[in-house]
Amino acid sequence: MTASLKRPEAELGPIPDGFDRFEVEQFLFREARYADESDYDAWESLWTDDALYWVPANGADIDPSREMSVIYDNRNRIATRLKQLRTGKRYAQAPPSHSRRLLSNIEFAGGRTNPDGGVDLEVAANFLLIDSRPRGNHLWGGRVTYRIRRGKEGLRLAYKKVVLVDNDKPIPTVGFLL
Amino acid sequence: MTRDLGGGHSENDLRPEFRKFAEPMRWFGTTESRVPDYAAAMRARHGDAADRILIEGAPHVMIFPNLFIAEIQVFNIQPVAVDECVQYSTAVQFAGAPELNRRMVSQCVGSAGPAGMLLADDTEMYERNQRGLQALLPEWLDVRRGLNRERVDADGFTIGTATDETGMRGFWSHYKTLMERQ
Repeated sequence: MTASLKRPEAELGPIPDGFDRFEVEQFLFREARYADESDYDAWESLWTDDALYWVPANGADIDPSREMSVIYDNRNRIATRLKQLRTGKRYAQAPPSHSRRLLSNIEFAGGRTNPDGGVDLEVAANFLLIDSRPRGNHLWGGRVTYRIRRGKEGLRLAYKKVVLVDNDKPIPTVGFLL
Repeated sequence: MTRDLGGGHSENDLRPEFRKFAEPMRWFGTTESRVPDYAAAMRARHGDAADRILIEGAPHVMIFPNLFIAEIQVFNIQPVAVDECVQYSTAVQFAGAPELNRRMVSQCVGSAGPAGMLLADDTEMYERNQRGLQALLPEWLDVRRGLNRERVDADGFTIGTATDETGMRGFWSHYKTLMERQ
């Protein structure tokens, strides 16, 4: 088991320079497309080594070290999750979902100091996702917060938090990438 | 081994497996050195019995009709319609064991819940069973696995091997006694 996944949260500062809106939006749309198309290798390559992928349950601002989340993956666990999906024996995704998501209301929220000493851009957006499975179609929606880092080879994803609008209720299986 | 405890209750008794390895905390997928505070507290409290407790681990038990304790997770299954159940899950938390509690939350989130690396697949199986049940043809869901090799243990309980459907047979045969006209 990994050590505690919790890490200190830097204060939200001003929007950092050097992030072009078009470039950022293209990056977010690409991330969404990789997730929709179950392109696990491409999706995995977007993440930084200190990544955190978080889908809280029962609220937006819970304490993930004490309360339940739907997903709370550090970089190792993202790798484990994708490894399981790639086996083809992830029965919750056999057959894979057919899903498409829309991102909208994209707002630059601010900047957060990262472990490298740089400043990640924090972006928030709304999303709506239709997931088609043998059991039927399901509509997922919520607010996503991203932290985007400028790396040597372009933009990378350091953090993605998905707050489902209905995370206070029972939800169906999430075998796909939210 | 699977054990029909009567009254619809059953357990998957994993202790024989862990006894073979005789490694403290193996049941939790870790070693004693990774949870030193917890292990020390258990040894201080239980003395000579601590080794056995740390080796054998926590129960994997289904309490009739809808409470399931799987070592570090608790599930409560609520039927909400003839063809739908909601399964709630959360981490077990021990009094005075913050080191283990953090790990149990983390492991529970990783394995249980709608996106859990174990439970999402289990839930898929529950749904497929439900579809099979609703199909009506064939008429029955088959829970005969291991019927040919069931035994009775020293305490008089029916037991089967780890993947046998002994527990399910115990559950449904008890359910039938409750639901049939007396």
